[in-house]
Amino acid sequence: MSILALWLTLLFVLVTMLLSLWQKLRLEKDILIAAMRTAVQLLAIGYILQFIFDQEHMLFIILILVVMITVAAWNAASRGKELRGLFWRVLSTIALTQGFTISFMLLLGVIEPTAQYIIPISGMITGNAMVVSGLLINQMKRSIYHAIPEIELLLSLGASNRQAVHNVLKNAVKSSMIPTIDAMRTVGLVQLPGMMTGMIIAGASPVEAVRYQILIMFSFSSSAALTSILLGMFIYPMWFTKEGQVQRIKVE
Amino acid sequence: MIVLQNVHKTFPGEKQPLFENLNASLHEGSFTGLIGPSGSGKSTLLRIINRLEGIDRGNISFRGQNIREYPVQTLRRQIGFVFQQAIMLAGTVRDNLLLGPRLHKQSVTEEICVQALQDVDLDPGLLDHDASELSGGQQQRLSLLRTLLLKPKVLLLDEPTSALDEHSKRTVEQYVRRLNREQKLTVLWITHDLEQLKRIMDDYWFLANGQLVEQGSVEQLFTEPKQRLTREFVGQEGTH
Repeated sequence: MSILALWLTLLFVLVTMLLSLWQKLRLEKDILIAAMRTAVQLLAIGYILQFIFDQEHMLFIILILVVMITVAAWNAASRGKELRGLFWRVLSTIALTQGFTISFMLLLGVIEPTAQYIIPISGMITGNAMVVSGLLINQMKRSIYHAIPEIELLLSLGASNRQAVHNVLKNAVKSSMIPTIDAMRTVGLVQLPGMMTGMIIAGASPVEAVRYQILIMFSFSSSAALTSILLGMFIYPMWFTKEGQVQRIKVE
Repeated sequence: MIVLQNVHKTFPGEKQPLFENLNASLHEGSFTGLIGPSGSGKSTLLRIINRLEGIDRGNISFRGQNIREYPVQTLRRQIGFVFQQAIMLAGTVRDNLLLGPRLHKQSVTEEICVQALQDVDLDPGLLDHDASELSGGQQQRLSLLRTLLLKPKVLLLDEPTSALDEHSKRTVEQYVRRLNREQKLTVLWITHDLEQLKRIMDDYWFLANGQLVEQGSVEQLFTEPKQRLTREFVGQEGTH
């Protein structure tokens, strides 16, 4: 894509701002800032990736993964500001999921141990884990708040905290995985995923692009399951006091 | 059996304490009615004894030992709690009845299930019915059985008969009274019904203004209440 063509894409931003003005949505400033952030963040990561690919040093790969995971955890943890210490639990979960998934791929020889493969695939897995984490946190906040009578009933019968939230946790894990499962069901029919489209536009054969997309979709399913189950186990104790009482954490 | 000493409790965000220097005692095998005006903290007091709610200061002991020294799950199995609102989990009557034993991996025979239902005038044929289809009164009786199946030493009841018709109310009263007499089950029962208090209970606790204003025998409550607040309460409630 030429530089001129890239500049011309700004017209899309302009259209969005005009629509906002016309409909009095007052989103012009937000749209402009978001568009600037998109351009700056992507250009920056483009140059950073170019540098890392050129260096091909494991330290740089690890560094960029740490940044990705930290930002993802920060973003997902913002869904539960009332829960102290949530960030560290989300961070550990995403890091473990990421570590497991990438190690598994490398061990099976599905991807090559180079920056060109590890970074983009890790980015997608981290992004998916972030979305799943945010959904799980939201769902748990809402479900636990509404299920307090049921949880207290179980506690009064001598249930452990884990037994008392078992049903709530199970449903929250299921809910947080639904978007990933839905995406697997409809991929190729409703939408062509970004990575696959990108590869095709960049000149890769569609079959080659599809193979990588299948790899990504399958790894998404396991990483979504792993993220939601691990995070659920890490965070449910946050709703209980040391005395084994339920904390009423209000839902906005 | 249970002794409360200088119990203080203030809910977060509240200026006024709910309980201030609350003292009370419940002896083994007693059948006590917990009475007091609405909002006096009767339900919270039961929740505190069951450790569903914490306290700010003071001491509560069960069989001579601070309740905080017990593993909380052990304590809650020994001090059963029946909530005012009967909560049914998804599943059959049997699933709900066996909730406690299943949590603790205990098996219960069919005979015990059938007998339990018969004890509170519930048809054993309901065992495999959906619990959500039971009437409010049936659910309340099931919720009582569910707690009793764990064989607690103390039973805390938060107005368990408020939603029941007269016949079911009497059945539950007689059943709990029988357990109290035959098995020395210690009972603390919140009630607004002074006739019920007179009918089945031996002792009373009168809670008001963050204090246990008075405790004693039910007979004494009606013949010679010591405190003005108690006299007023009995007078008002008695006319209802």
